[in-house]
Amino acid sequence: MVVLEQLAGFFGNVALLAMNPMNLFVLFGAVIMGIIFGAIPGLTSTLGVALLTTLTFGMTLEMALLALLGVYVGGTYGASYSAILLNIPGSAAAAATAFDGYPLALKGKGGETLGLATTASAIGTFIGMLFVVSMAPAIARLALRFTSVEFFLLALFGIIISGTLTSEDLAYKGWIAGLLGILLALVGRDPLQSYPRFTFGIAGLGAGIEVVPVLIGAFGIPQIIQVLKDRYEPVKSVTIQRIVPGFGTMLRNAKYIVRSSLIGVGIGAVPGIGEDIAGWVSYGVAKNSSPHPEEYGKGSQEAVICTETANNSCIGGAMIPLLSLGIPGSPPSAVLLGALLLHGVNPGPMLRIDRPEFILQVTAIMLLASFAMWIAGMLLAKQVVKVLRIPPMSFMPIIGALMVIGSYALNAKVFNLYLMLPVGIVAYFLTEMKYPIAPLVIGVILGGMADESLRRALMVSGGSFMPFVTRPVALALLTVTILAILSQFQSWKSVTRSLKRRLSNRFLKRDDT
Amino acid sequence: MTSKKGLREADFVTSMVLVGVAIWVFYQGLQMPMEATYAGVRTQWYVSPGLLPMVIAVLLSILGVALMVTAIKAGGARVVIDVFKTRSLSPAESHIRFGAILLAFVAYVFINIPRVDYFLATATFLLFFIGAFYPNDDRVLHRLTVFYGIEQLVLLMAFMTGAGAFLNKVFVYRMVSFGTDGLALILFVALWGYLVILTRGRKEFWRARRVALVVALLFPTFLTPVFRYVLRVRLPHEGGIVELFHLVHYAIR
Repeated sequence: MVVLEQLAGFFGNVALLAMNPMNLFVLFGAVIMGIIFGAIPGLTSTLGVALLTTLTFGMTLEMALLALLGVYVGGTYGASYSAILLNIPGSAAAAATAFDGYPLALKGKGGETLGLATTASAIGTFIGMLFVVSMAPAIARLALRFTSVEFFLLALFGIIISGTLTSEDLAYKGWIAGLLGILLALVGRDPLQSYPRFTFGIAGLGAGIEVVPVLIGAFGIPQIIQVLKDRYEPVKSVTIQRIVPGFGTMLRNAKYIVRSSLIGVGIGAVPGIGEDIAGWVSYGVAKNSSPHPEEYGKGSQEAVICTETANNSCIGGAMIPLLSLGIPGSPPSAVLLGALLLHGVNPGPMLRIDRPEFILQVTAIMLLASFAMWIAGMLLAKQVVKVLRIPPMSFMPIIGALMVIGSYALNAKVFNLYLMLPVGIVAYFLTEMKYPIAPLVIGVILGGMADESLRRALMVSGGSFMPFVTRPVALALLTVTILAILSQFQSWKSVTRSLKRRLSNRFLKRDDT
Repeated sequence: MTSKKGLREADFVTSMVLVGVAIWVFYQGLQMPMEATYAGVRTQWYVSPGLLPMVIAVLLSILGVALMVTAIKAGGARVVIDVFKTRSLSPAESHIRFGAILLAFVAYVFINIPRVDYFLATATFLLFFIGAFYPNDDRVLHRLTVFYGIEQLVLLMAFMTGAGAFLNKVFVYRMVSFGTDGLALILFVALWGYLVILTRGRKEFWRARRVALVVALLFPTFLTPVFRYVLRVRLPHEGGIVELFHLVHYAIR
């Protein structure tokens, strides 16, 4: 009965949203903007969501959600354009798409491959949405039993896992980035005693650091510098013909679509990881389990489908911890969290009580966004290709100007700019030294929660750390976090390897006898 | 920073910075109230606002030392010895480009935005940024960057010496001071003129300078009314040109 009620509520929301022409206009506009942002090398869906946040300030919550989720969905898919047609991936996830998409385009199958990527992305978003509607309320219900102990450990877990999995170089560079993020979040008056921390007597820092300008700076400035730092070499794009993929091709690849969707949702649900890792993991799994692994890298449709399905289903995955725990699952969802807070929505366990319709509304928008993305992708592919020919030197300065006015306009404070620019420059140097930015951002977002939860937990226990090991969920989170840390040490790896060897030897001996 | 050696050298320097930051954060944490009466409430060490900063400081210092050890093992510490060796004084091309980007942003955010009319500040930023990078030519980039740097220095001096305030007192129309806007407008025209001189006689750059001027003028023309009248955000500095927008807006409303 409850399920039926949920379903009725969901379809009611879809119908309500779809019947308003203004909603559809905003949704299609946002999806197209997202596709363009994703398609242009150097721009990402994260930056798209960040820049749009300011423009949604005057909108109703419903319209703001349509715009932000539209850009998120469109931007994640849009990166496949430059990957397939130019061999320049717009994001790390699209690099896996470029591996096989570009060779296919060179064989004259550029249009068909784009069509496959579009359909796979739409299906991925749809499957991700199914998981949001079914899992987010259940996790939120469970999270209602969480105390400050669990929330502190959850924040710590998010930062450590995100740092471990997103770091290109040493894993602890990710942890350092996360800790620096927490440190930034601690600036300002502390929430329990109102004591000013690291404010240097600057009045603008008293209220703490504004999250959105930090996000805009951290994601935008490094992108602009990286694109313009090297000389521009014009690239020839491949021409495209037929776009709509054959029904048979999609049906043949149905099992890969389902598997990649599950991978995408699973990875998306882990705090702070996101689409890039989902795309690569899905590509790796597909290659290892394929009967023709030798075709990978030379133009395999299967590979393109797997990557694109996974990175779009990751959106749904990333929304699960965001809506149920208030912890973003990916960098764009971290920006989305900032935008939701600006609109007075506090994602987390209390969301179901404060706004019972909200999760259904989000999933209804995701469903509409996946349809809008498919339609826009099929109809506008040839036009978007023309955008790829615009040299980045003409639009990167425009993005810069938008970042500046966007950061300022949040509360009409020039101080936001004094924060955005230095954070952006530091983020650029960190990126150059192979420090991932995602944990830094997660740290900025979760730092406040970590601080408050730790102190509240200790206050309740009278300074005892025992609840960290006596509460089952807390113990599980602590164990996983410690294991994630230990797994990065060589000595731990050799210990587990020898343990495995001994165990297998013992079992083999037992089998022999 | 793509080579492993370069990365480890940077890691070595970063590790020292990190340990330094960690020590400073720990010290700051110690200065925060531990067991004391704060606002009439007796606080314990575990409720102290310095608790998490100190925990982070300890973790950062451990990770900083770990980074240092890894860097030293990979020969990253040699960067300290190399500092004393003679190095080429001419910076790499990518460094000059990086410097130009930094100059554009720093001048826009710290000099122009708080003091110059928003329209003019944005138009100058875009004209320089696109004019320097769009031609994809080192000579144009270098010279325009130097010229823009000098212009910004002039603007900064005008504000610091009080010349800007004097100009604003002299040039007032309908309670709007536009003295510094006039100066900024002159610098905008001079920048455009210099770009024309730099690209004169080279047809391949004509498109670049046209794009630079068109975007520099059209984009703020679109952005100013959107933020001022649609989103109702008061712009950082509303001078002569934004006042002109007001006149047009209220005339047609």
